[in-house]
Amino acid sequence: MSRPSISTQAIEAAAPDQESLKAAGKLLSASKWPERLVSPDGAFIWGACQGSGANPYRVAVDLSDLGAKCSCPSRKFPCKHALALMIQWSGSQADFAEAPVADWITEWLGRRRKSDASAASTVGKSLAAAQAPEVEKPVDPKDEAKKEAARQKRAEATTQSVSAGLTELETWILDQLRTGLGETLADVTTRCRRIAARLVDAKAAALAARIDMIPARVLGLPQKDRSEALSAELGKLVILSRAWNGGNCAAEVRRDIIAAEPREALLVDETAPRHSGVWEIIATREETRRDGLIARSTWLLGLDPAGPRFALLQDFFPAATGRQGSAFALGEQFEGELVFYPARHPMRAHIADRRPVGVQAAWPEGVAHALSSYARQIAEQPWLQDLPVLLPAGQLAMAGEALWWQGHSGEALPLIADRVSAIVRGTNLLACVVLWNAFSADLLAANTDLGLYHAAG
Amino acid sequence: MPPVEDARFTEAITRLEAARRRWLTGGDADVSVGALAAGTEGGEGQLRLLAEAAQLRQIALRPVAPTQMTRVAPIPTLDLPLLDQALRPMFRRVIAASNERAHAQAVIGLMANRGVMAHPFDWVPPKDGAGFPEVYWPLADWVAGQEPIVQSALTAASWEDFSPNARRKALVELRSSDPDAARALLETFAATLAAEERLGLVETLLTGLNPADQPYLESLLTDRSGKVKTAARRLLGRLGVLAADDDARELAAFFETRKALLSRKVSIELRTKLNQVQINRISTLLESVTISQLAHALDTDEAGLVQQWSMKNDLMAELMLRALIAGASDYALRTYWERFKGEENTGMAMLFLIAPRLSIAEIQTEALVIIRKGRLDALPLLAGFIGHEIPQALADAILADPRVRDVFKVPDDDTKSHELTLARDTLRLLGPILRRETAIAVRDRLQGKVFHPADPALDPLHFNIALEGHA
Repeated sequence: MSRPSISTQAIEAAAPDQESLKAAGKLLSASKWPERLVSPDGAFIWGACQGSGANPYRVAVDLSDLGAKCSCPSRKFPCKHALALMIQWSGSQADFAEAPVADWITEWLGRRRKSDASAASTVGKSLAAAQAPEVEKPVDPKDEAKKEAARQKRAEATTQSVSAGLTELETWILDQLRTGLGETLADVTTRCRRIAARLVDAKAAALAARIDMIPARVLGLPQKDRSEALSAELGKLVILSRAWNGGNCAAEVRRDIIAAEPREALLVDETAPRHSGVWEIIATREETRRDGLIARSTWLLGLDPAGPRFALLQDFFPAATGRQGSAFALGEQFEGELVFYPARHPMRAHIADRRPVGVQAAWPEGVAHALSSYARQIAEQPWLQDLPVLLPAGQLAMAGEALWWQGHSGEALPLIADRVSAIVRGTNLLACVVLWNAFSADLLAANTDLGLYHAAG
Repeated sequence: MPPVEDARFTEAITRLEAARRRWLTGGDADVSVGALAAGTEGGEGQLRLLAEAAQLRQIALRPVAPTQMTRVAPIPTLDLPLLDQALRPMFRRVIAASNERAHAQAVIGLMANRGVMAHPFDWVPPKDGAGFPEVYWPLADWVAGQEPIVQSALTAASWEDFSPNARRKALVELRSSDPDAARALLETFAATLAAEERLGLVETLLTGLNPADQPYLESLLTDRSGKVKTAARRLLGRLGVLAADDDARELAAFFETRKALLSRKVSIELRTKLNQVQINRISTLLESVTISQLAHALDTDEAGLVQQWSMKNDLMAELMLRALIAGASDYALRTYWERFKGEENTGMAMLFLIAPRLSIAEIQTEALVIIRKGRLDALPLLAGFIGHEIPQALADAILADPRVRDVFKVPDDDTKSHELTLARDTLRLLGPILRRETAIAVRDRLQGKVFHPADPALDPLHFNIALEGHA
């Protein structure tokens, strides 16, 4: 079947401006596109484009009118990812593998309205100019030296500023202990907000975001657990602060206090651990932070028969841009290599490459004495909070209004009841993944006698 | 305190617990209890102790399960295979296309007809399960928190072992074979049940209704639930044994018998134009006054009433139909329906009101008449009454209807968005009720011309077609 092609003029007309075309021109490398697909009738092309975030963006183009859909937060329409997909299609259709139309495209089709292509114009937009190689300026060693000196100066200033901020944090924690954690609990939101704002000023943005989430984490627990949970949260802040001030400041500590290294830096880091295999998307969680960002956590389970391995893809996008579609469907599996941020127990990662998986892989068996493995990780990185745990076979049971996971070997964990759908409570659990924080478990996914269950985010 | 993973930590945790209690009310805790804090002074000691307590809790404590825990009842055995994994995303889209119960009934009914069940992670039936295939009733009982226990026979001894859904079903079966035994069970147990369940069980007396039921039904006229009283009156109305009372006379006073000047034809008409309050009152009275009572109050009999009732006022004509369905003999109801169905406004929804009193063949015949009149409202309910893949003659009639036919002509452009919306609605109605071959024919006419093959408007058809091999 002959497939529709796209002319250069059509792409230029569809582009919102020349800058978008230029940005799209930088996204044409095949390595940025782990997936490029076309529907059997040639009506749609779609793919996954690896941007700066941990999750790739999902992009689709309707070839009949160049209507596009992308999961990136860009306000431009079509965005640079959709334009890049069009440019690749116009250049080489052979790079696109044929595949049945994905479910998310069908859902998009149900909502979309056809675009009016007649209003588009090519004036001021040139694909050739956008793809022209940029003339590189000769590197001036003096300029480079100046830049490096400035960068070091900035880094030192940041270190000093963070150290001062952490000293202030410890003083604040002491104040809470002396005035009473009962009083802190009554006013926890305002108090945390105040110290978090000071830490933002001190350039400890990641730590500030963590403190901002303390009220939600503590107040979400039963009344009887709140004071203990609050003291645990504060105790962990002390540990993190001491890890920074201890002089042996590892990258993992900087990451949890200031910010994570960008994806590009991680990919070239030779010390970063890499793990290949089949991965399943087991859960996504989104939290709207007080700084206006939505933090999306995508949890992956490595389906290695030798034992479970978890990975966390972390993305942030402005809440103002509205809800962004997730790049993956829950339960989706792929084969690929993940690059982990170096840490004693690597968890946060980026996808280095991925391929579709041929045959769906089975879950590994649950781990007996799973909390001992959790304790080992906490012993080595004591500032950590929630960690995923693969629990062995068990069932769910009620104790009054409280919901518990009960292992066949006698272990038990309290679950966050409102996160567990009624129907899964009646199944036999062959294994399940929970996020455990020593107080309550958030059930993410389960392998049940009715098949795989994934809790909604 | 929860148990400790390692006995070495037991003492430390006990000591740190005292520090935590101190911090709760405010003040410095005793630093000597901490391994890292001991020997330090002031704030430094407090911070070390706090850090130590935080970490120890996470690595050493294990939750203790309450002694009184109840296992959530396991999901009952599902008697049909679950829908193929690959079809589950499409099913979720199809079932989510409408919140109407009739839509879910049509989709779920089609699946059961083809021998598969929805995956419980995607869909579960409502608590009452009414209108859904029987294969889902144990699951409905489970959703309602009832243990689905299957019993061979409903008796006084086994009464408590049956869930409400199973009990209702068993009572209907018992009424068919031994009406007296079923009534005796009701006489023994109905008064102990909540009003809603009691109502459902009293209504089962309709099966095999006979004069022997009269004393029990009359005893229900003083039931504490108004709905049960009304149900009893209706059943007594079917038996034609109630005399006119004050309500019947009040209702009759709204009407008068008129004789046409030339034809001398007698008709029962409203005396005056009614206001809304009067309409509401008539509607209320028709719920409790039986047809035979009203007929007596108007100095006629049941046959005379249904022959003479005026069709000039649409609302009154419909109210009479509803009253007849609720409590009149089959003869009276059918006589009235013959007059009523010829009216211009009689649509599918009206047919479905009377459908429980008709055979499947009669419903098909009546449906064809109404479809040919161009009345397609309430189409999804059709499958619920005549089976989930409607006969070809009905499908042809529906597909020949101008509005359905126009779906095939809709050009796929923005100027026709209203028509496209209508087309999507029509396909949602048709998808779950067509036979597979018909669904294929409709899809082939639409796919790639009006809609892209991946357009979700075609999902109901695709889903119908994909349920192959189970029919």
